[in-house]
Amino acid sequence: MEFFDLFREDRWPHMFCPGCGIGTVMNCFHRAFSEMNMDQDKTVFVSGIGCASRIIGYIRADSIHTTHGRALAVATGIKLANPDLNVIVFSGDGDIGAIGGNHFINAARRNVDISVFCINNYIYGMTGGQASTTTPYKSFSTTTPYGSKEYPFDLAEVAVASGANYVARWTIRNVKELTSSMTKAMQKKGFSFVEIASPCPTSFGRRNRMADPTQMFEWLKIIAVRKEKSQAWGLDQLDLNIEGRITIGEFIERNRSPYGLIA
Amino acid sequence: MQVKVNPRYCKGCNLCVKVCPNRAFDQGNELSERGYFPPVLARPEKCANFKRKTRKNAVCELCVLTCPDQALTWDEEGGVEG
Amino acid sequence: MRLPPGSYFMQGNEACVEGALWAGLTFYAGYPITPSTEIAEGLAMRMPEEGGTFLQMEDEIASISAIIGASWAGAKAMTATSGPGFSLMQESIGYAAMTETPIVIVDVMRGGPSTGLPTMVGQGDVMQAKYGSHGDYPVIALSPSSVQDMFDLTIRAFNLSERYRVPTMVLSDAEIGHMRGKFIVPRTLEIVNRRIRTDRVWHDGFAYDETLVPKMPIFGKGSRVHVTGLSHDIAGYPTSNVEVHEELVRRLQEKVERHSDDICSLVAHRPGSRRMLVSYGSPSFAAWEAMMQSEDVGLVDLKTLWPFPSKLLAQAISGSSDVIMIELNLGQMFREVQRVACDEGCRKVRLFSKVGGEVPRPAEIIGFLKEGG
Repeated sequence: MEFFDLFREDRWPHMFCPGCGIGTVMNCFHRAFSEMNMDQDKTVFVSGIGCASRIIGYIRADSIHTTHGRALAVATGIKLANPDLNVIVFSGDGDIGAIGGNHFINAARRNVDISVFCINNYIYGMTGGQASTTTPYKSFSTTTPYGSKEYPFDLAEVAVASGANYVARWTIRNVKELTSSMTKAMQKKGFSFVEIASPCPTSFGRRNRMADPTQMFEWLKIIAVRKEKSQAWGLDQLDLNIEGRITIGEFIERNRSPYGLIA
Repeated sequence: MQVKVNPRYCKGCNLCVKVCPNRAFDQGNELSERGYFPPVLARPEKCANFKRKTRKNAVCELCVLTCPDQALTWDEEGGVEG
Repeated sequence: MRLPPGSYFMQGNEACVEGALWAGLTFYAGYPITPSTEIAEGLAMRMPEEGGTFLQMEDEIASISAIIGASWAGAKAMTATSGPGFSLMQESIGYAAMTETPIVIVDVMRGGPSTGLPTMVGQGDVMQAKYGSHGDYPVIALSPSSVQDMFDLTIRAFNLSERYRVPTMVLSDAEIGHMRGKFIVPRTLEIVNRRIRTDRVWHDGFAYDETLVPKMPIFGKGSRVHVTGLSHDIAGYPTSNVEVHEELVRRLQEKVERHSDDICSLVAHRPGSRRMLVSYGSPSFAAWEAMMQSEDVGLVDLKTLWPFPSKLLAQAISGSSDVIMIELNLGQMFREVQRVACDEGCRKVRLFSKVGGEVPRPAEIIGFLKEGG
């Protein structure tokens, strides 16, 4: 499948800023989706509000752009009303970690058969760079001009704890791993969650001395520690998180029966 | 084959320059119609796919997969026959 | 199996459950809240028998979001709640109106504001039903005033929402919901299903005809429609074009207004009497009793609250000189009634209001009638 069989060429070039990681996620998703040979007409894309959520407006398939944070609740409704559909959610850290946090943990707990791709850019990009629940400690944003005083959320760990069937986290540097994780997530029955650490040079980078996309790319390399390494260092993942670093890798794969298939 | 840069889509982020393990790209200094500086494929012979003929057996592909603006595509006719 | 035709003795909320199943409900998502819980409990029992889906969500926002999703996936979807939950749902009600999603929301009203009187009656949500979300958007709101109405109007709510692709509310209240009474399931019932389309809808997913109601592309049929709450053109794609926005918002509003003759209904007893009582919901019982005990007094029982049945009300109170509005709030629908009555040349329009908690007694209404002469 060509890229523009899945995406709408007439709406290109897309609206994302130079160096934004969302375009990379689109590439990886296209690879994963075409490898899977999924039926485009039987796949529904759901998103909330924010930069990441605008992906679905570029996709040639049934798609619904919902209110802020409610993508997972809408996806649950679609999947359970018509279990033949593949439901894929694109979401940002604001949707998943802040306004829709309740829906996130409950969708994972309920283990509805949906795949969630969360593009975490550590900032509210669309509104101009306010701190989000994943903004690293001491980072700057328009609402944390003296540095963030809050500890960030580790979304992947939340998903593991809430009972998701598949959880992985990669940065957009890890395009190969990300593509295969996306494939796995779509194949997995039950709730699967892939978090993608993504650069936002415009809103996050500019206020944290990384205005150039390549600088943010370098930053992602520094903060991301492979799971095996972080375990070998004897650091638990929360400590890394406070230092502004993240663990990447596949965190869990289990086979709890998805909602609706429990006898 | 070799990578083709589409100046209509490129937003000049230079991630391809950064990501290429063989340093095939250089930062561009010619302004495109949309007001960005698209990179140039300065050393196509260094690309791992230089001697490959079809997209199907392409390796690496870090630049094509990373390009956030879908400006990089494979040009199967491009490059030198090998 | 659907309830066979015949006469039954049930609670209002249970009648609502049976009505919804008759209307073809296939997806329910809700969150428990007094006094609407019996609807969720009833459907939890009944839905698996009918092959539908019952889902208890984590909150009311999730509930209404889930039914919006289910509706786009082709289901007839409903949720039930009460005041506080209804307030939480407001944003998504606006979203459903903007995206023209047919959903039914049963709001069993209780005394407010805030947590208020959870187990007791109130009618404080009637303005919220129309104006709760931001922007101008259409809704249809029906008001049942008996157990029979709970059955009939639930079916009607589904029919109207399917026909006009508008979020439709059944504004019941705690007294009606918990009242036990007789209701009849007739042999034949009119059930309306939405008009759907299954062709590719690249450029005209929201194209409409002279009814102003677009045919609905359903997910999974190959339409590849894009649905968004942003202002969108007829292709369904977001736009910031002011003219497109204006056309969309005006068309949405016009969609309901143009069909208001089909949507609006009320019941008028002794229309054109010198004094007319106007009520909706549970106070209608006391109002009817007060009417029966007085001379030259009529009663209008509003069955549709939004769009407001101005034309029908004007006919019913034409020639009256004293109009008394009875409601369980500080006068929310009173202004609407006052507007219509003043246009009809009625000189005296009064409000008999109770804040909620209990319904008025007939004697109180009769006393109020006499006070004003």
